[in-house]
Amino acid sequence: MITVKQVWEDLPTKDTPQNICVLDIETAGLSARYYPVLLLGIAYVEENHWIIETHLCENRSEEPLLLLQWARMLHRFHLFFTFYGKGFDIPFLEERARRNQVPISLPRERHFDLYERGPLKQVEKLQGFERQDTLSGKEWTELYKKFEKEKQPSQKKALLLHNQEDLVGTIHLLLSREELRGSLNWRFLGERYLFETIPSPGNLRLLAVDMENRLWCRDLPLLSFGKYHFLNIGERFDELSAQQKKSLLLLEGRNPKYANIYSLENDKDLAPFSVDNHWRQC
Amino acid sequence: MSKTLIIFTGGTIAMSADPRSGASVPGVSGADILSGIHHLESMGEFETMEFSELPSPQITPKHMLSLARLLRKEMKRDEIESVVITHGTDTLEETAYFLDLSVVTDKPIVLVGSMRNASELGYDGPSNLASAIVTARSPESVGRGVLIVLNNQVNSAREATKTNTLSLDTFKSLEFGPLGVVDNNEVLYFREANPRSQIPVDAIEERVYLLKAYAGIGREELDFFVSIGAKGIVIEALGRGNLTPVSARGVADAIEKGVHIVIVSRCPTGRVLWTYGYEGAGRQLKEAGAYFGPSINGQKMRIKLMLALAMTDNRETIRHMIEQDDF
Repeated sequence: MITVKQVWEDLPTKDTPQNICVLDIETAGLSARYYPVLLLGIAYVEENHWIIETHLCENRSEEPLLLLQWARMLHRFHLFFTFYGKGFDIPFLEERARRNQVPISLPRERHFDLYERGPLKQVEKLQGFERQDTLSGKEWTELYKKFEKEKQPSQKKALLLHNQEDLVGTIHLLLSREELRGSLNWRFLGERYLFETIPSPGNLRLLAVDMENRLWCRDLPLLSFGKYHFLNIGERFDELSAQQKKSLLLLEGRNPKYANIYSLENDKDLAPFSVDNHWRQC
Repeated sequence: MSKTLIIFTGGTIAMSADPRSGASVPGVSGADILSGIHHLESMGEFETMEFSELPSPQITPKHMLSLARLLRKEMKRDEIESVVITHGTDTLEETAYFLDLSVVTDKPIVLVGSMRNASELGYDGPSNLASAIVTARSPESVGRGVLIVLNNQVNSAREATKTNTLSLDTFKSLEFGPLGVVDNNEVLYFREANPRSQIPVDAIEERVYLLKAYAGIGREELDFFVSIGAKGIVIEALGRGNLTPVSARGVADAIEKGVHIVIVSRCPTGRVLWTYGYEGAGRQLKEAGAYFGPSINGQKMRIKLMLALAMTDNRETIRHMIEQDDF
């Protein structure tokens, strides 16, 4: 197994949370019934830089190691962005895991597919991103077959570059989405991940605040769990002023021990709703 | 509301003395054990489940696999926030490590047992269970892997072993120390758990055996294991990972026949390495194709090899799982 970690200097991070990643895989063929997954690439932000981490099988019998890396990534990251992952990467990984008797899967709520229209290379052009890699998917698998036997460094480099640039293209796409920009992701968080995926029993609306890893939402299964703190803002979310919404974001980085915001279930706790009040109490 | 699931499997914690023979036998229900915890109501919401009533020497890897499946199923329930499993102490470390390797979750899983049964003075079942519940329900326990709680100490499943046949503080992480303590109904962590490797496979290879080396060891046991169809053999070798010349030849022959051999040490702490080059020593075993385990005992390495072999029999892949994914 070859693991390469590379800092991608020129990519802006735009306050991308540390607990999300962009994922892309390369496989020996299109059908998960017959072909193994051979490369698992992820990109994430660390110390204000994009890191591209690639795990490449030296031969196809190393696939189980790649699946173990996949299991690890489910721990490491909260949210996975892909380009057409709904149609390919995620079901492929799940089928390979199933065939290797590895009972892991990515909950639907933790995956966001950035695919909108057209293949990635076309979208990249629209974003103004110039690729160095020239391989098609089929050429990649052919090159891999040669690499398996010959292990030439130039072959390895080309195999890695293809995936790395796929990831960079997907990152460009992620950053171009206006609503995903910065840490003020209210539109995105609110519509896609907070209110759609978290049920609202009665008039409760829960806002998940992850104190350790910036403000971010968690998926449904982890609701009110462990180090994740939950804020009930009832039906009032839409009534909050921009300043109040912003102050919610300020919760990030504070010591969770002093954040007195665990599941406030009574309306009296919310009236008048102000995060600043909570800080004054602390 | 979030709940802790308590799974009872049996063990001394669920035993009392037989009135006629005086011997410890199963007979204490989960409800009985819980009734010994005075402030249970204030500790949160619980759900209980009887998995088995087995003393831990009767727990097999097949039971462990069923338990792992049960956990995977229960962990998918949103309201289950953490799990406590009562277990006999003799094989508790193996079950704990099995679950640590094979169940992918951030939710705390805590194993607990007792050293004294319910008929003895100083029955430690309820207090250990209370500590385990406190540990499981602590937000600080999230993402630390499977934990073992006895005698107010919190240990990592990867590191702890049963060190004493009788005393209450029997579970120790001899090399790294405990992760923390339970004090006044609160868990205080001293350190992070070491990075863990996982093999979350839903199957086991049962034909994996364990052999302890001794002065003058021959190759009879090894040859026997091979003759009964062993797929893997873990050897607790001498010191830094050495054997006698004759047993080392047995290792080479077994590997030649396709058996996977892992070397760990019979020393309670420290890792093995191929630093000695005399006949039968580590270097020769390495060259023959044996894998060198991390700082872990033989019974746990056996569990890991059972899971690894259930996934693949490719040598380089197994070597990676054994040698590179651990410390």
